[in-house]
Order: sequence, then C-alpha cells, then structure tokens
Amino acid sequence: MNERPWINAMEGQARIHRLGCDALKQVPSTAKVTDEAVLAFQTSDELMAYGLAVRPAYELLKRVLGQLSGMMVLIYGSRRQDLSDLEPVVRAGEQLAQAHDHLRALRVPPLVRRHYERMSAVAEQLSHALDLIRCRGVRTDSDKERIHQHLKTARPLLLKASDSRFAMTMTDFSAACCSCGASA
Amino acid sequence: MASYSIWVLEYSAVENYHKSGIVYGAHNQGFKKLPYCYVVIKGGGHVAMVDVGYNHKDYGKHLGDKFGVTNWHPPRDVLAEVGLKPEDVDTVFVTHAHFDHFGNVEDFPNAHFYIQEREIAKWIWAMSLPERMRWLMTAMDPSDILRGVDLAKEGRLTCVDGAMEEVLPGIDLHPAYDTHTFGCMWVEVRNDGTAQSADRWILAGDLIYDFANLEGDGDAVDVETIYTPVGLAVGSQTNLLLATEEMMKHVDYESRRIIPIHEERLKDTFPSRISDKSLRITEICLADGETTKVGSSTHSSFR
Ligand SMILES: [Zn+2]
Repeated sequence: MNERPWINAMEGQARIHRLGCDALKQVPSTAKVTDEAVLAFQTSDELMAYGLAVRPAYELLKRVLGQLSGMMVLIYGSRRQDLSDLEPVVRAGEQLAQAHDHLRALRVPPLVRRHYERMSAVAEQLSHALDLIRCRGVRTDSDKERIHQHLKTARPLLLKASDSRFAMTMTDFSAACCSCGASA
Repeated sequence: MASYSIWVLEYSAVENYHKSGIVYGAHNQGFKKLPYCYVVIKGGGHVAMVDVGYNHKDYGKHLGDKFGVTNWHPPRDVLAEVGLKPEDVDTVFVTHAHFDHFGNVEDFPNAHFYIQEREIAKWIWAMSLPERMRWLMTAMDPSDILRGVDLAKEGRLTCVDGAMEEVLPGIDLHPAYDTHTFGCMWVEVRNDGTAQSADRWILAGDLIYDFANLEGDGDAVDVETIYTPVGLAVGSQTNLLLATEEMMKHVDYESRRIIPIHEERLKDTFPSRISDKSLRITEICLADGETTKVGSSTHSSFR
C-alpha cells in the first residue's frame, strides 16, 4: 500500500525521495497549459475554492514547523536534552495529523497541482522530523542533524507555497508591533 | 571614563504609523514616523548589537506594498556609517523574537546571539494553540526560529534563563517576562564598568517605543510625567509598567538613559546626522578615544 499518495500523483509511479534530495526542492510541473488557460484560472472560482480550502492546512504546517524549530533551538541552545514528553510535541503531532487529513480531503485543480505537492512534501518532512522527536527523544547528534535537515527541507517549500491572496503568509503582520497596522 | 560607544542606526522606516500602536490607548490621535533601528555597542575589542532587523529578502516587498515600510538598507550599508562591517559584530542581544528584531541573523556570520529561553518556549506554546488564538503569534516568523536552530547548532546561540550579568564586561541582560512578548529582555550598559555605575545606558527593545511611554503628560493627575505602556502586549500592561519602573530605577530615574529605538525624537536628545541613504545615525555616547560618527564633538544636547 502506498501511504504517500501525493508522491506519485504526478507521474503515476511511486517515488520516495531521500532526505536532501533536490527533487523535493523542485517539484516538477506536470500539466501543459496555455497562457490563456492560466490567466483564466487566476480569477476562477475553482482557484478561489482551492485557496480557501488549503489555507487551514498551510496554517497547521506553519505552526508545526515553528514548534519543531523552537524545540530544536532549545535542544541545541539550552540545557534541555529530551523533549519527547513535552506537551507541545503531542500538540504538534495532532496538528500535523489534521494537516495530513486536510490535504487528503482536498479537491485539487490541475493547475495548482504543484502547490499541492509542495504542501504535501512539507507535511511529509515534518512527519519525519516529529517521528524522530517522538520515538527517539533526540538523544544523539545524528538524530538532531536529521531533524534539522527535515525542517530545513520543509521551510523553503512552505515559503514557496505561501500566497498572500489567501492569507497564507509565514508571518502575520496584521497586528505587528512595529510594522504595520497603519494601512493593514 | 567610558568603555563603549553606542549608536542607534536606522535601517528602514514606516512613514505613517498609527499612534495607538505606539502608546496604549492613543486612539484617533493620528500617525507618526516610526523608524526601524538597531543598536551598535562598540568598545573593549567588542562589537555588539541589540537586535538585527528584518529579513528583507523574504518580506521586503510585502511589507513595502502592504504596510508602507520603506527605505530598507542592508546591515553592510548601515554599519558602514559607523565604520563597521557585519563581520565585525561578535555579539548580538535579541530583545525579543519579533521579525523586525530577530529576522536578519544570517547577515552576521561571526556573532554569538543571546535570547531569553522563555521567548522560544512560549512561542512554541503559542503555535500549539488553536487557530482562534492566532493573535498570540503576531509578528513571529517560524523561519526566524529555524534560522535560530542553525545558530544554536553552531554553538552561536545561547538561550538565557533570566538575568545574566557581565555577558560582556559591564553589560547585563535583564528579563521582562510577559510584557511586549513572553520573553522580552533589556540590555544594560554600565559604561564605566563598575557595579554601582553612574553612567548606565539601557537599550529597551520594544518595551519602550517612544518617549511618550516614559514621560507621558501627567497633568491630569497632577504629576509631571507618567508611564504609559506601548500599544502591543502579549503579556500585560501592568508588567510593561513594572518593567519601565525597573529600568528607570537602574538609571536613577534619568529617563534620557533609556533608549527607545523606534523613537524619531532621539535626534532632539542626542547628536545625529542623516546618511546619503536618508537614514539617521544617532550617537548616544562615545568611548574614550573613539571619534564621532555624526560630525559633532559634543554630547551635551540632552532633553
Ligand atoms: Zn516587537
């Protein structure tokens, strides 16, 4: 059974990427479409529906990325060494499961396939990282290194999946102290 | 005797920032310029900074288009105004993890960073909460925290648990928990190096935005001045006021020794100049033997 349907959604064959594989950074485009079709799609209800539907998953992935990154800062930068029993780890696990569910339930128009694949790749990377924290408690340098690499692979993908049209941004500036309220 | 020179360096600005963001409760009182700055502390063979600005690569366009943040310049250009390079910076004190303070760590390859552990721990907690409580994540960027992992892994980030004295000679860190953010801290420079220094400077981060937070008009209650907290607190206004009192106590209630970095009127208190990139360089004090970087040799124009 393929537990990662997103991986082969584009090309009809199972491909599990190794950690750090360049393919994860450059998800290929699959559909050949005309410029007119792309333009029409930009204002379509279909895109709108996808954007609204995918946003909760984006938000969850961003939160999990932030939490796991914060945990790694504490592991490397403070005396804490084992986070596996921390309540936030449990919560991040729940959020990640929700994100996976959300992504699985999405209807994905062909023209946003690449976006969807990026989102799925982020979820996958974060799952690997969280599994390492949960199962092994981050005891060895190699565990830390592997978790860090998963997070570093996830971040640019999530950044690329950001889209301010649908309020999918890494930082919420709307109430930010020193930027913004003025014209928000 | 002064060990350190201190400069406040503008690196960007919002021309029209709503006053209610700066001073709690200042509704419908219009807008004012809000400079974005960081602080350089130089002396005793060290170059330290208080905060590092935001990541223009990721957010510049968005912040410019949507929120009117203008005139961003990279640390290389900004630091050059005081004769320094980003590589010269060996220490960075991060007052809090908001994007415009902790967002540009990559530009300082040789620096060791200090941040309160609580700032990170409570951020993790805030991110674990349901979406309806997302306000608690305001102005925090997961990417910044991930860059923090790089630093920590290289042994270049220390998570400080509370107060820390003599991080550099004569420089102390003080926590101000549950104020502007969960794990804010302020930086104190005892510029003659003594424990009972009479020459102290406090770099307040966002605990104070503006002189109005320190010296609000007290007429209505028949005192000269009153404290009014900044407009944004994830902790409480009470804690902000208590932190203000603590800072003021440290400088013996000489308010000019508390440096708010978003305050344009620093120029009325300290010597300053405008660079050819239209950024202000403000000279708070000069170490013995240091030459002025603002073209004025006196430091007497205090408010
Ligand atoms: Zn702030």
